[in-house]
Amino acid sequence: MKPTTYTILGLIGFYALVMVTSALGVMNDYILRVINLMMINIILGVSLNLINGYTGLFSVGHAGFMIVGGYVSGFMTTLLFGITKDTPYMEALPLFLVSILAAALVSALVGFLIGLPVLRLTDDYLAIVTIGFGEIIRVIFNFITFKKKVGNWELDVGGPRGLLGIPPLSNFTVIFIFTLFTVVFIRNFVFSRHGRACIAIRENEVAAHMMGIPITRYKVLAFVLGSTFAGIGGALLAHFIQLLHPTMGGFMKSVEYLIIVYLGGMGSISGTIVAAVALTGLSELLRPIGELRMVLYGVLLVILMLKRPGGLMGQREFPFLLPERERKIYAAQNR
Amino acid sequence: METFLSQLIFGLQRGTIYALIALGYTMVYGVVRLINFAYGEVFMIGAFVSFFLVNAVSLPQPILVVLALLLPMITCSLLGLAMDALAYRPLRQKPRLAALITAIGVSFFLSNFVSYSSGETVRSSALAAFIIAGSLLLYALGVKYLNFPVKATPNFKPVKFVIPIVSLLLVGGIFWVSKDLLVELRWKGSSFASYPVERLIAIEKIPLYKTVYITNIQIMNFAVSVVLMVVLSYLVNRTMTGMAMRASKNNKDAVALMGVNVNRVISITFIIGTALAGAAGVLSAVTYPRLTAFMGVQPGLKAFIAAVLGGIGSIEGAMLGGIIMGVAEQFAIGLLPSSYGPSRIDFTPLADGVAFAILIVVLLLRPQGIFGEPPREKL
Amino acid sequence: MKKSLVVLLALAVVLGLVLGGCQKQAKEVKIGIIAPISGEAATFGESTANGAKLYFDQVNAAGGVEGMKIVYFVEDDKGDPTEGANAYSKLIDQNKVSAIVGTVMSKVSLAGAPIAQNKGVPMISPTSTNPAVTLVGNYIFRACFIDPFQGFVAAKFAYNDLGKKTAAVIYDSGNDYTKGLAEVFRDEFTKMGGKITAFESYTAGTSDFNAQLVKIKATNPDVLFIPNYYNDAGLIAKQAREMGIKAIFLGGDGWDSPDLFKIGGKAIEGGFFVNHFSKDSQVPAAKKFVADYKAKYNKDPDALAALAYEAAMITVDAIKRAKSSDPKAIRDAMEKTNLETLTGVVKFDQNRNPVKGAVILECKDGQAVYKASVNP
Repeated sequence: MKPTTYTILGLIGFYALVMVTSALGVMNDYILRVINLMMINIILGVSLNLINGYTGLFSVGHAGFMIVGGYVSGFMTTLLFGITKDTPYMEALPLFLVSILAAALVSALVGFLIGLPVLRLTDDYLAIVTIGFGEIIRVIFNFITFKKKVGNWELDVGGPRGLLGIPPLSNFTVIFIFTLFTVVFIRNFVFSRHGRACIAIRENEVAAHMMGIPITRYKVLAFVLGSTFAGIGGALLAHFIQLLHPTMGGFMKSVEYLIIVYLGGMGSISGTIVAAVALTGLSELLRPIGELRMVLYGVLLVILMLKRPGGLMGQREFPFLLPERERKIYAAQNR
Repeated sequence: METFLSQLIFGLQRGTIYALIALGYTMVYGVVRLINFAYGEVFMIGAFVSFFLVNAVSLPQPILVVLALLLPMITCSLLGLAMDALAYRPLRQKPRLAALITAIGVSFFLSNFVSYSSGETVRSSALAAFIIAGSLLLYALGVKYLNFPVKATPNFKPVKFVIPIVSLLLVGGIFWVSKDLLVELRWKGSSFASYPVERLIAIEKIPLYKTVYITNIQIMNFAVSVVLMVVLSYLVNRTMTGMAMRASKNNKDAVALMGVNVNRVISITFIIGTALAGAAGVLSAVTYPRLTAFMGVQPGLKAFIAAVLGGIGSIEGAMLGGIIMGVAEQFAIGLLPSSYGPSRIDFTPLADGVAFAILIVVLLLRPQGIFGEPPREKL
Repeated sequence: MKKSLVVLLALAVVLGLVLGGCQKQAKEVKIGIIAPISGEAATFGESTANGAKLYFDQVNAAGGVEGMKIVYFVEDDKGDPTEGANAYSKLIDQNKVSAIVGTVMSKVSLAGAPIAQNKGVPMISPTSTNPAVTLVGNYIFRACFIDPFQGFVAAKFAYNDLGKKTAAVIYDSGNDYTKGLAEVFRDEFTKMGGKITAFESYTAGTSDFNAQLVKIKATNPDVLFIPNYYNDAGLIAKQAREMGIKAIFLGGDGWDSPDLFKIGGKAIEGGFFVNHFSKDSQVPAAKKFVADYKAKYNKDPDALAALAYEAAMITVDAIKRAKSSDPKAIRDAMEKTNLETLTGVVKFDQNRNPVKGAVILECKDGQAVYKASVNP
């Protein structure tokens, strides 16, 4: 069990390092912010990888699920529970967790409703429909408005104003724990027989069907799981930037998540993690060049597909993510 | 009654543009089975090429009109060829996913590149394009006629470079011609360009019924679409190349066994498809004279849905699908109650969803579209 | 091999971020400028950044403020709340600015304001009109009037000055600025006794407004209120005239741009809009600003540039009165602002919104010409 021990030690060490340096002021809040965003992007990338990478579907509407989760939990904490930034954290935390749970459930439901009719379509149609879904979500959230009293103003909340005043309940610890949970869950799923079924579907649907794998059921399962975690990611994001706007779940955002998945490698969780970290970091580093960044993303996609369609890590994983059996095979192969 | 007729005419106007884009889309998709996400961007470039041309050159009107239509078509078809050669052809044997992602990448690149450019960048990229293209051309000519030292690989064909070079030259040339104008216009890709319609054609209204009217531009759009559709139909149904295209739709390998150069067929399909996109771009610019770098995103998506509605691969279907979409959207906005209705809720944003609603309905009820062939057996 | 590559990459990223924060200390005050330089609002971002930069450069040329040189950092919020929040965080935590001028879009300002408030750095937004922005906390200020005031001015102009009793509205349903203005106009106009005959919306990016315009035409309004940005307003005006709608066009400060006439052409002639200031203003400071802006950037300034310039003026004035680069001192001074700017005297109310008047401009011969002033 040595690699697992190393992993656990490494994670504890990382957590401690971040907490200590930020408390001491050695690491400023900006960098902490970037790290938090990296982790949220990891959640979203890994969840999309389950759908696109492991099951071979082509969903281009992942940001839509994220927004759904964000809005559900945001509405709950602001309107239902009435938490504001002055509410003591310990009091707000359980309610926050409840709202995340709600977000996960609603995203799962939406994923299910969308997935069931749509997943038997081929790649191209699926792409268009998922893009459409993203747009419809945006339209719907532009539509929903509530009136809220803030001081002596009556504000329109929701709609094009965006969901405002979401309390900042996502801190490093919470995000870290959820990211860990997501990665572990999906990694376990992928290396179980369910995951193998999904991979089989990706490789050859006809053969998988003939082996007795219920194709539609597994596709929907992957889709629902992916959307659930996207919803969780969205809830965390909403409580991090304290604001949610319908335009944040659009096509552009979905494409960014696509880049993370395909850059990292379609069948590799570690690849997605690396890509999420790299892309978020690069996005900040490349601030000076502004608009050119998007142009480069486009070129990156093209070159990626031409030269290295497997992505950075192909289908390989870091050894510490692999279960015992795989590790031995991996070690044997690479002797 | 007047409102109804007005909406109908405007719906047809919308629909004709969708139909034009759908025509090219359906052709390319039928043969290559690839959703060209970058198609909307080709449409956008057609509009911009026409914009640069009309602003830079002053010629007598009839010549300008023809040129403003023809030049974007030629440029776009060469652009399509370049896209095919650089991004799609290498991926023909690989899984479709790779090509889809590449298409998204190309689309991202084109729209953001235009958004990023300005008069200055256009000027310098035109210069760069000229230099690169010129030197490549010279090199190719040298290899062909003067026996320049050539890499000892059997696949090296200088001719392979010629077409992308010519397209670069043409695009560069257009930018070059208008470079000073652009710097003077202080054109910024991120802003909104206003298309000087008056230089091409004066808008005339032809009254039909009370206050309902039809403009000469609408008639022109419709006429051009019909003409292109007829030409396309002839091409696809009555020529050898067209036959090869139709055969490639069904079984590429069999076609190759018949001695047809499948790659060439695909390239020709691309040329025609993107030329149509270019034409659509020009007509759209004339009808809605405001151009932006991202103007191709929505029409691209909706045209695809129109093509699906009419039957992917069917030319008449694309035309019909486009028109139905346009009219449906128009009436959706026209009929949905806006905030002044009894419920005080504005339903018009939902009209945006009409296109996708149509898609879902078609895919669920009749996936082959109106004129399409029934789907093959799927397990 | 792969693992070391990954580790190297991660290290490079972290190193880059950390090193970016090193800076030298000198007699200087650091100010951040945030604007959407790329993305959907890029033209607006460019104007804003230009306006603010112009003022800071002028101040530096005259010797700085209180002996301190202004060092400004321009960040791009890309029109996206997440990115914008990062930009705020970078300016505050990495560049350690004492004040921020930004940003344009309310949704981004709303994402960044909590950060500024938390860290105690005063922020003044030149153009965010959502009332909620300044409500985030007492470090958040605004340089423009808010939608309720603008809508009221427009309604009053239509009803009283133009004497029109029926109006229709067409607005962008996805944009809180236009929606807010539209709703306020509707409510105020109705309160005054006018009748709103149609209230149509469209989604951003549309270039075909005919469907909505046909509906509006059927109701035959005297005035068509188009509280949108110039790019849509120009096109709407054009299509409306083509359709034979004879209503007078009325708009808000989003119309202010030289491109309005390029896009709207002849159709927009005779239209009116509410604005913060007029190019023809006889106020000497305004005339000088217009001349300076044109000399430096080779084009006429629009309202966003002017507002950014004013926001910059207010910031520097606060620094001057605070006599320090300490953010809290600057904030306290800013609250007590009583400054003569391009449009008149600026003072802040209890919500840190400026109490300022508006002007009505008329579109005449391809220019926006001063028509009237309205004071609160």
